[in-house]
Amino acid sequence: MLARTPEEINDLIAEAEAIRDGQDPPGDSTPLHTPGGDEGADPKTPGESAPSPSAGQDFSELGTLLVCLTDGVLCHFFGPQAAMRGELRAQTVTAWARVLEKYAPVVQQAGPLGTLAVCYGTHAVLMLAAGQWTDPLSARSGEAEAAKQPCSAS
Amino acid sequence: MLVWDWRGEYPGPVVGLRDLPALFSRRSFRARYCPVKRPPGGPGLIQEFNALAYVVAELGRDLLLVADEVKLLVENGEENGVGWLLRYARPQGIGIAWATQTPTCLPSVLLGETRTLYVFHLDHPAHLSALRTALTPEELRRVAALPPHHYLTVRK
Repeated sequence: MLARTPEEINDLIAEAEAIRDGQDPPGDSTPLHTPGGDEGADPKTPGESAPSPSAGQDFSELGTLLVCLTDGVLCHFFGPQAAMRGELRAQTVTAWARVLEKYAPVVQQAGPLGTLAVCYGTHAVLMLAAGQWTDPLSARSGEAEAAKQPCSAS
Repeated sequence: MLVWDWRGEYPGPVVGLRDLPALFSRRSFRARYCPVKRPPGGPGLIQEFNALAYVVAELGRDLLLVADEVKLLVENGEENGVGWLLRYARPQGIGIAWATQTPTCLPSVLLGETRTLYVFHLDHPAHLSALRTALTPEELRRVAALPPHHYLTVRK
C-alpha cells in the first residue's frame, strides 16, 4: 500500500464515498470521470443519417419526408458498405461534430439553401470517406444491421 | 484478490470502502465488494465502481480486481473507473480480470490495454466485428466455430 497518513486515507475514503453517492468530491480532484478514447462518440454508424442540418426546427410532414428521402438517396450512392471499425467510427463522429461546431456560424451566413447544400455536401463526402475506410469483405447485411444496435449495457 | 460482486455470487468475506485500507495492508487476501442493489440502467452502479476503482488505484498494490459484466460499468462507451485502472494502475501491480457477454460498444481501452483475452464462442456478426481490432480474421473464424465451453486464448 502506498504510504499515507491516516488522515489522508480518511479524506480519500470520504472522496470515494462522495463519488459513490453521486456528489462532488470534497477535495479539488475529479478522479475517474474521463470519457477517454471514445470521447464525443455517438452510437450512430456512418451509414446512418448525419445530424440533420435543421435540427431543433419544426419540419412539416412533407419536409420530414423530403429530408428522409434525400438522406436515403445519399446513403444509397455514397454510404459505406458495412459498419466501420469502432475506433474509426468514433474518430469520424468526433470529426463531424468538431467541423459542425467550428463552421456552423460561417455556414449559416450562406442562407437556408446554402446551409442545406453545405451540410448535405459534407454529409456525402463523409459517407464516401467512411466507405473508403470500411472493409468491403465484411459487407454482410447482418453485420451492418447488427452494428446499428444502440450501445446499452446488457 | 478483490471481486466486484454485483450479483452476489462469489464466496468470501464482503468488504466496504472503509475496509479497503486495512485489507490492502494484508499480505494476501480474497474478498468481494458487493455494490448496493439498484434498478438497471441508472448511473449508481457506475458511480459505485468508480469509487471502488478510485480507492484501489490510490491505495492498492499488487492485487487482482475481478469485474464481471463489465459492460454495466462502461455505459455509453465511457471508460470510467475500469478504464482508469487499465491505463494507469499497472505500475502498481494492479491487474483487472474483466468479462462480458457482449463485446460491442466497449470503449477501446478495454481491448487495447488488455494483455490476454479468453474468447468463448461468439457467432453474432456484431460481436465478431467488435473484436476485429484484437483478433485476426483466422482467429475470428475459430471463435465462431468454437464448441460450448471451449475458448480461444489471445495474447498480445
